[in-house]
Amino acid sequence: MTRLTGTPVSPGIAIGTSQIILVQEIPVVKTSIAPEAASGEVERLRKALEATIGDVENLKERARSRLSEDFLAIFDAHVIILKDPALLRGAKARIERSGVNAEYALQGSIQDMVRGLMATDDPYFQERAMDVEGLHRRVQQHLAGPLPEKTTWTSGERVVILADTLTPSETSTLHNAPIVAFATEHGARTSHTAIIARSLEIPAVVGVKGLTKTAESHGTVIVDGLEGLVILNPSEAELAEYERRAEAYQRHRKAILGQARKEARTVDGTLIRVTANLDLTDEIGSALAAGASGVGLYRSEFLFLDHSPDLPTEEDHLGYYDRIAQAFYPHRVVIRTLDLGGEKYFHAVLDRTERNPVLGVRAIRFCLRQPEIFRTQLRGILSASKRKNLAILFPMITTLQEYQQASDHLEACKRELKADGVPFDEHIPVGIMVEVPSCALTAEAYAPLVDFFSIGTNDLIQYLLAIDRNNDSVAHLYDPMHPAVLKCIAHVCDAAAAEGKPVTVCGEAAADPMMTPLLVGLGVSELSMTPSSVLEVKNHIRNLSLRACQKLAKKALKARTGAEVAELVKTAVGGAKG
Amino acid sequence: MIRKEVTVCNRLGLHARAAAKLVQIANQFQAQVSLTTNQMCADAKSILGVLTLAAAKDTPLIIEVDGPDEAEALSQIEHLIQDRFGEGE
Repeated sequence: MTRLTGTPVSPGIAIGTSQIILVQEIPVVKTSIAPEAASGEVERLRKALEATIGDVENLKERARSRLSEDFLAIFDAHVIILKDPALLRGAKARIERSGVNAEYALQGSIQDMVRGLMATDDPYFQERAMDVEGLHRRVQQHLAGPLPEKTTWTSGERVVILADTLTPSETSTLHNAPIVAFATEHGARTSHTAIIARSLEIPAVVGVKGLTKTAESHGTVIVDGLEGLVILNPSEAELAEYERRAEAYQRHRKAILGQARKEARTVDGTLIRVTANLDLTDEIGSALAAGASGVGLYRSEFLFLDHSPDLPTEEDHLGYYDRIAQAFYPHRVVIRTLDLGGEKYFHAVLDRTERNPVLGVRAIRFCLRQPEIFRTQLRGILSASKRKNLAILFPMITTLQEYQQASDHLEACKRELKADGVPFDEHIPVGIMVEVPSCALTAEAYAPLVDFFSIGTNDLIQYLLAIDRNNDSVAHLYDPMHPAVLKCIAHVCDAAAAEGKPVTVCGEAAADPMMTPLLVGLGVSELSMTPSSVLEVKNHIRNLSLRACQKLAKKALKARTGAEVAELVKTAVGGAKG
Repeated sequence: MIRKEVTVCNRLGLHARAAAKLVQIANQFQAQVSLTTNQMCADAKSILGVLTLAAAKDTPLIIEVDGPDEAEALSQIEHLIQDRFGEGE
C-alpha cells in the first residue's frame, strides 16, 4: 500500500485498475541498414507518421464537442508539423546517405524540426515545438510495432490513468477506454488533464510526486479527487473504506445537486453569493449546472493567449463577453481586465527578459503602458454591457493613481462609444482587485471611489508572506490562515463596509471549507471559485451561522499563528456540528 | 507551371495562424507550391519553411505552382493572401 498526495483538480472518488501511460523516453537505438533496405525503412517511417496523424485527427474529432475552437487549433498545428515534408525528407536523406534505421533517422529529423521552429520568430509555433517531443514519442511507438497499450476494453472494467503528464497526443491512446479517474505526476488546474477530467466529471489529481516511479500497471488504485490522494495497492480495509466514501460522495453529490438552484443563506439568514471563476468559455455549462450565482472573476488572459501572437480585436472581446453575459443573465459577470505577466502566462507582447516578472510589468501596470491594448478591451467590455449585468475589475492596483488612470481610460472609452452611438451600460460597476498589501492597507482611500472590492488571496498571500507560489521549497509557508492575511482581509472589509461597498474573495481560499467561516465572519459577501467547488461551498454556508462566524473571526484576528487559527476554526466548526 | 506575384497585406504578415492556414490549403493539392521572397524560397506545404520566410506586411511574394491542379491551388492561395487570411482589419 502506498499513499501519494497531489493537487486535487476534479472532485470525486474512484477505484479502478491502473493503466500507466508511458511518457518516458523511448530509447532510440542506432542500427545500420543495407542500401537495398533503405526504401523499406522510408516506407515504414511514412506509415508511422501517417498513423500518428490519424491519431491526432481522431483525438480532435472526439474532443470537438468539449473544447473551444482555439484549443482545437492546437491539434491542427500538430498535424501540420507531422505533415511537414521537411520531416520525412530529412529522415529519408539520413536513411539513404548514412544507412541508418528509421527510428534513428526520425530522431535527427525531429531535432532539426524543433531547432527550426524555435529559431523562428513565432511564439505560437515555438510553443508547439515543445509539443513535438510528445508527437515524436508517438511516432516512435508506431515504429516499434503494434501499440503496447490496450485498445479494447471489457465492459465493467474501470480504468485509472496514471501518467507523467498527459498531452493531447498521450490522451489519443485512450480510445474509448472506460476511464474513471486520472492522476499525473505533473500538471496544474489549467492543464489538459484537469480540463478533460472536469469535462468528463471524473476525479483527477495532478502534481503527484513519485507517481510514475512507484506505480505499476494493472494494480488496484484509488484516486481521491477531494483530498488530492492516490492510493496504490490499497489494503482490504482501505478498499472497503473508500468504496463507502465513494458511495457517500455520490449520494451527497446527488443531494446537493438537487439544491443547486437554491441560494446560499446562513442559518441566520444572511445571503452569501457563491459565484464562479472562469478561464474558458468551455466552463460556462458546468458553472451553471453547479448553481453559480454569476461569475465573480472572468480571467481574460486566456482570451489573449488564445490569440497569441496576435491580439484580440474589440470584436473578439465583445463576442466572448457577450456570450458569458448572456449565459448568466440576470446574474452578474465580473470581467477582470488583462492580468498578463507574472509567472503564469506568456504572450508575445510581453518582455521575456524581465528578471522578476511577478514584481514587474504585469496586469494594470502593463495595461497602463499599453493603453491601446487596454482600451480595446475596455471598449469590448462596454459594448457587451447592454444587458447591464457586466462589471469591470482592475487587477493588481498598488496606488490610487493607477486606479484613477485606469478609470480615466474607461471614461474616455465611454465617450468614444457614445459618439459612435453604441449602446452600453453607463453605470457599469467598477471594482479593484486587492492583491498587493499596500492596496489592502489603504483600502479606505479607494472605498468611496469603487463599486466593489475583490480580494485575490493567491497573490495577496504571495506578496504579503513573500512566498513564491511555484517554489516547492517554500510551499509549506503559504498559509491563507496566517493572521497577517486575515488582518488584511478584515481591513478591506471594514473600509468597504464604512462606504457600504461589498467585498468578494476570489482566490483559492474562497473554496477552502476551513476558510469559509472566517471569510464570512470577516464580512465577505461573495465567494468566487472554480465551478467544481460551488455546490460544496453553497452547502457549507447553509450550515453556518453569521454570528458564530463573526465571533470566530474576532478570535482569529488575535491569534499569533496560522496553526492557532486552524485550531480555532476546527473547534468552532466541530462545536457547531456537535 | 504557373506563377504570380502578390503582396502580403495583413498586418501581422505570415505569422502562426496565417502560416498554418496557408500550409493547410497548400496540403489539399497535389501540385508543388513554392513561395519566394527576395531573400529565400520555401515549400508552401512546409510549416517550418513558411515560418522561416518570416514574410512581414508588404513583402512581395512570388507563388509558383506546378501540378495537375495548379490553377485551382494558385487561385485559392492567392485569395487567402489577398483576403488577409480572413483576419479582417
